[in-house]
Amino acid sequence: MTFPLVSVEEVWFRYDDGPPALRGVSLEIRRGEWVAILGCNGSGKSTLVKHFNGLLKPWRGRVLVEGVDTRRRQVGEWARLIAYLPQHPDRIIFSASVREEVAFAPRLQGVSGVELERRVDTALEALGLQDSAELPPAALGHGLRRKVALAAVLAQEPALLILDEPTNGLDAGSARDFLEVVAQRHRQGTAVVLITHDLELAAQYAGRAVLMQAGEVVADGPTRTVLGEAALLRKAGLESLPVTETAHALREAGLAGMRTDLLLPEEFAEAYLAAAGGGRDGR
Amino acid sequence: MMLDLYIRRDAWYHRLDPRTKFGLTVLFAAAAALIGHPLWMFALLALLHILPLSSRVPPARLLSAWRPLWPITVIILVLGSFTWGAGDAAVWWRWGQVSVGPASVLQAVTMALRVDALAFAFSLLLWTTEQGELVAGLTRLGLPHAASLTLAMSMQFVPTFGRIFSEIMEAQESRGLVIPRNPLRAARAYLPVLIPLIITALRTVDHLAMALAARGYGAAGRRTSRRQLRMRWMDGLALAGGAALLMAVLLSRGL
Ligand SMILES: Nc1ncnc2c1ncn2[C@@H]1O[C@H](COP(=O)(O)OP(=O)(O)OP(=O)(O)O)[C@@H](O)[C@H]1O
Ligand SMILES: [Mg+2]
Repeated sequence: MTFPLVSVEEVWFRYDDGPPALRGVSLEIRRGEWVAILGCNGSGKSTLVKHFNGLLKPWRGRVLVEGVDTRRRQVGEWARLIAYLPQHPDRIIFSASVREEVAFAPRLQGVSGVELERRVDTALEALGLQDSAELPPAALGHGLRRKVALAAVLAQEPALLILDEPTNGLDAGSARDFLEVVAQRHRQGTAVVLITHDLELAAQYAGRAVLMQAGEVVADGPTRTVLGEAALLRKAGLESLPVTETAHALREAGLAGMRTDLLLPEEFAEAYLAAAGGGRDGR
Repeated sequence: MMLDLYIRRDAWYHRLDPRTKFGLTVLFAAAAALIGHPLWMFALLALLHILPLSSRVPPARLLSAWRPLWPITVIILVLGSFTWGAGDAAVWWRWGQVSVGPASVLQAVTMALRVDALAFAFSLLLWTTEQGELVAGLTRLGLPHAASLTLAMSMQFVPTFGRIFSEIMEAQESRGLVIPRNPLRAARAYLPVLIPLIITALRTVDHLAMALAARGYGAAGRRTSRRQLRMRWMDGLALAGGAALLMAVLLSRGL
């Protein structure tokens, strides 16, 4: 029998002096998936993903990684399976050179020699950092430090890559470049969990979306379906994509056949033409 | 400020003048230093729990103050219970020059509770006093404004850095860092945690300096203050209570 990569079973969690931050969350992360975790500030997204590699331990319920309870191992022992990129690159960077920084995690896994070189070079290349390899990462600009941090977790070559709001504060173009690097890894089989507020990015990259509200999962399914639930999104404090809003508006205005599970403008155009009945050559 | 210890409440201890609260903190600290009997020390510690609770500081905050405190307490208890050179009249256990007896245990308990009481005396001040009030109070007590501001800000940064420390710890553990149990090896293993913490601290200081300069801090001219401090009858009462407590302690010592 093969286990899901991560399986979260009825997990409750509370920080020491607070109300429950997770209230009975259950979900599975399977190999090779790309899951977006959506929700407003304080809905429990970070708290949830920190359970995936045992950074936090459930107060009730349990979390299994490949069938093993996270309570049974130290966090460091999951590093070859699961990598976690914190929102802030400065939480990671400590080495004297970019190359050393990227080599840190694989070394801890016991990787050395040619294999270590390969991992480091691959990660540096993916982010275009070859020319900065010998520079001290802490002295680089913010954008480059983010890239170093991503390279450092890519070199772990994990089965699951967790990204906590990696594109916050990046302009749309840089955000896309950043996620393209992740997408390249995803195509090679790495599962990705992406926490984001940006529904457009979720629509573009994630096959599945999990919507959180006040510590609970209120929707979990294909991104298309979840993002089509305008009412649920609104209740969870998020704004639907413009295409979804417009599709709902058209339906309410009487266009009964209009689909609402749309992600991209092109899909919208097609659905609209189909629903309006005319097709391309109209009237 | 990002995240501080202050707990906003409209309650009696919060409403005291900051100078009164400084005075009380000093009185409590003096009492903690002078008390020599564990029962008295216990009573003082109890009082330092009742005061914040009566001013609506949530019990959970008191609990979280105990989290770093209890290991220290245990260490002092254990180490303090051994006396070197065996001065004890009655002795429970002896091994060469080292012995444990009722007198040394009582002393260890007093010492451990003293550290706890001091921690709570300062926590009470920080839980109930806003940063701006701290600065205003210290300045009115004669400290140069820059010094008060520095002091107040560094006190408020303690929890912020605590949070950043645990975020760094999480990041590095996720990369495979395991802190070994052997303390000598553990010290080295902490480097990937301490270096980012120092870098972050340096960056923060840099940003703070810029932020203060941008708000005109350090510009020539007389500083004006928005905050008017005023002593009320409650302040007099509280100070009198604190002074009475210290008197009682002194009397009990037969001074
Ligand atoms: N270290 C902590 N100590 C105490 N409470 C915390 C801590 N971290 C988070 N919380 C609380 O837990 C709840 C969930 O927080 P969490 O960080 O998981 O939310 P989030 O969905 O990641 O939000 P954001 O979008 O702001 O990152 C919030 O109410 C938050 O205040
Ligand atoms: Mg978060």
